Amino acid sequence: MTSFVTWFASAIVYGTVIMYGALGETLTQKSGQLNLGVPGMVFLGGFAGFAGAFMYEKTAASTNEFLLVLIPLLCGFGGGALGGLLYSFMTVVLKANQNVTGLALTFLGVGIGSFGGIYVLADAGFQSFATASETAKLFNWNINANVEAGVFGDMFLSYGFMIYAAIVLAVILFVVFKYTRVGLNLRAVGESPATADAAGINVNRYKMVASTIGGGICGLGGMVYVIMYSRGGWSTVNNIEALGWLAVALVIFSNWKPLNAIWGSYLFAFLFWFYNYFPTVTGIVLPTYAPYLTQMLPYVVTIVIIVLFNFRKKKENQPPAALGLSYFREER
Amino acid sequence: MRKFSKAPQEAPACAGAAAVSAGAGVGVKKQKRQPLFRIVKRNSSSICYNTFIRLCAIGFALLVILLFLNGVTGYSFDRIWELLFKGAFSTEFSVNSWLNSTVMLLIISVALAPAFKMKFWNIGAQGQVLMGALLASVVMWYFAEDMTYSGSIFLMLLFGFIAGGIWALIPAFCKAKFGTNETLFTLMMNYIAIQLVACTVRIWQGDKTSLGFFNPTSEAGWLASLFGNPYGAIILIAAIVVVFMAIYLNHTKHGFEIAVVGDSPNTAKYAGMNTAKIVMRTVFLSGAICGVVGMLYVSGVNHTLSAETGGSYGFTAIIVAWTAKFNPVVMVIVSMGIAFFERGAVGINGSTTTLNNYTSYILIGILLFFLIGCEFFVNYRIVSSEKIATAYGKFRDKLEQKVPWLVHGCAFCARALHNASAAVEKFFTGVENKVKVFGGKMGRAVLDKTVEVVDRCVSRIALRGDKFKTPAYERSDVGASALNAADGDSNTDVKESAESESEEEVRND
Repeated sequence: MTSFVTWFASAIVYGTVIMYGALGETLTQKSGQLNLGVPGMVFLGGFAGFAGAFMYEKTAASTNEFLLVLIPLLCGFGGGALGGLLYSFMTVVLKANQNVTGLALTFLGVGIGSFGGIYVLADAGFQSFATASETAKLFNWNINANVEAGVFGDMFLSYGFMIYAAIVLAVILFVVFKYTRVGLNLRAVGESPATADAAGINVNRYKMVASTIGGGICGLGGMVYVIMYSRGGWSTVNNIEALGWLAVALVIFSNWKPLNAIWGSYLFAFLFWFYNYFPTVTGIVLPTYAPYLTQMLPYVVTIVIIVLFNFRKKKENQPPAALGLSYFREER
Repeated sequence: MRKFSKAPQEAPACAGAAAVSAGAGVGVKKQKRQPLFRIVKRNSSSICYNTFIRLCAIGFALLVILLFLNGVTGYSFDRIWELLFKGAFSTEFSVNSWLNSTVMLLIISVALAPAFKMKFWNIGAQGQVLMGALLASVVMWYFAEDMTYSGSIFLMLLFGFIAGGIWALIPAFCKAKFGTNETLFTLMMNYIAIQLVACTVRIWQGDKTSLGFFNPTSEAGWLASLFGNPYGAIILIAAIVVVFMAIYLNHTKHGFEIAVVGDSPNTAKYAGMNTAKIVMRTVFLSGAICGVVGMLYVSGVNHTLSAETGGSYGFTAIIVAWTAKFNPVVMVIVSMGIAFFERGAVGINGSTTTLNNYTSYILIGILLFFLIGCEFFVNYRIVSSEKIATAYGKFRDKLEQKVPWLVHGCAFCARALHNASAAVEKFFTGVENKVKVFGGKMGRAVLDKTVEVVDRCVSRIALRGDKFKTPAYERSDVGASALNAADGDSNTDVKESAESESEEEVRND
């Protein structure tokens, strides 16, 4: 039972990283921008969040708790948002091809993140590993550590605030998309930019703002990974890239609906940790190659979903109609 | 509510549409703001100009790269260059690795070209390379030792070809039959391939810590060196693939169909083309060549299998193919450049502790962004609004009263520059024409014959099933018109651009 609880708990934390990436990407894609640079933006956010927290802890004489939380949040968001801004500048202003730009952003983001992370460490006199421990402690502060609530507490109350913030963010995005003027305009831009333009919506501004904020949210995911999941340590960085692609898969899996992304992300993470906890929970010994097969499942499921929804051709289950297309008014 | 009727009268005709949405969307009463610049699509642009823009982009990229390296390491620009070249070309091994990287990147880019030309976004090259590698490894692992050298190599090539092709065919089939989004589908296929390969490696390695070389003693299935170079065979295959693809895309019925489906699916449908079949056939070919790359990696380079086979080349090649606009010569140059930075970064890393293995990512990322961004200046041009033009005119008048010599001097220089650039362009187009005419006279007969023979062979091999169908368009017509057009091509270009220029002026007035 306890190992099931740990399985559940690690899935929730890991899933939250994917959820942030997916929510940011959903926002971006709703405006018709297919940004394949999610791994890059997650990397940038993770690096910026870590660098901010680490440098603040190193340099400040006495740390302020409020700033300890605020700095990684702002840096993580800012790092990802810069990636999103670069992407939207290339695709909206310079009208570059979206797929190509996104892939280049992945390249650059992974490069800057990995390079910068090690550079920061080397600069501070460490060669491979260091932690922003005070920040990590604050981010991982939870109710369960202070109040005894049994299994329920272990499963639902043992997480830092960013985990719950992700769910709140998903609900906010759902409400914005569905019930507000801004959300309606945004969806119109994603479905048919020419129509939106004719109705007086500033298409380029919507696209740029959506991509930038979306990138920022992706960046928060990277920050959560470094500060909360690896407890403030910058060492194993390669996992982030895989998480970014999982986030892209999750956007499709969740069918561009933020509320689906909540349970979808936990499911993906649950499958990701399947090989680690399944044997201890059930007592069934898996062959050594099984982890690769279970980690393949999220992608397989996503492909099945793509084909299934296209097969059924239901209107509400389709991606934004203008997804991946650059909009130029004078083009007919 | 919205003032559509009023706006065009206020604003000049050219910027009318822009002014409408800029002002009306807000719904607040305020002066209609005219954008300072607007963007106009270029109707045609000369090769000379395009090359100039791309060279500028590369120049800026190099500058940023040098500044970055200078900022991080503190070396002078000279030293950075020296280290980059040393890293890429100092020893025979490094030259070979550079060649190898270039060639692999080149083949994948060339493989992707037909799919992209058809507007099929195959971003699953990595997966296709891996599946080719996987199947080639299966041959190497189970059969190679019982076969002759040529037999095993042929079987591996065949398996790699088919595996890569089928891996690409799955998304293509779904795209053709159900209309699924191929970008996301092919992306997902990558990760399935990665896990499949990792799983296979895990099964094969058993209790050992790593898989090691296949057939380490007998070296069965290892690609032998050719022309005295360990990667000679790979370079030969690359050359064959590039030439094949250049002919296939530009001089065959298939190439023509690909272009039509890519430019206008409706035209293709109207002309009686079987779009679904063309899509599946082209994407199969694209994936199959990627699969061959996987085989080359296993047999010619790594002699083992791993999930990292091919690295991130599957993604880099997409950008190479796109920035080269499917031109094989440009692809060669860009691949060389990227491979140079990748190998050169190793040289710089070795010299200092402030850099690390990810330096090459940043260098290549910067180069790619500049290459992608410069496309804007190739395809569009910026026109300043009337407001800026009048403001500039006023400023000029004022300046002319005070310092007439400066203004006149500047005007003279500008005129001279303009004339010079026009002369250069004229010269280049003249040379181009002369070469074309010369080539046409001398080699027309030979070219015609070769194209015809190759054409017939290719379409016979690939198009067995088409025998019973008579498409609504005729290959001979198309070929004739295309060849005729080649003569007067550049002339019409010049004429068109002149016409469009004058049109623009009229509109601006």
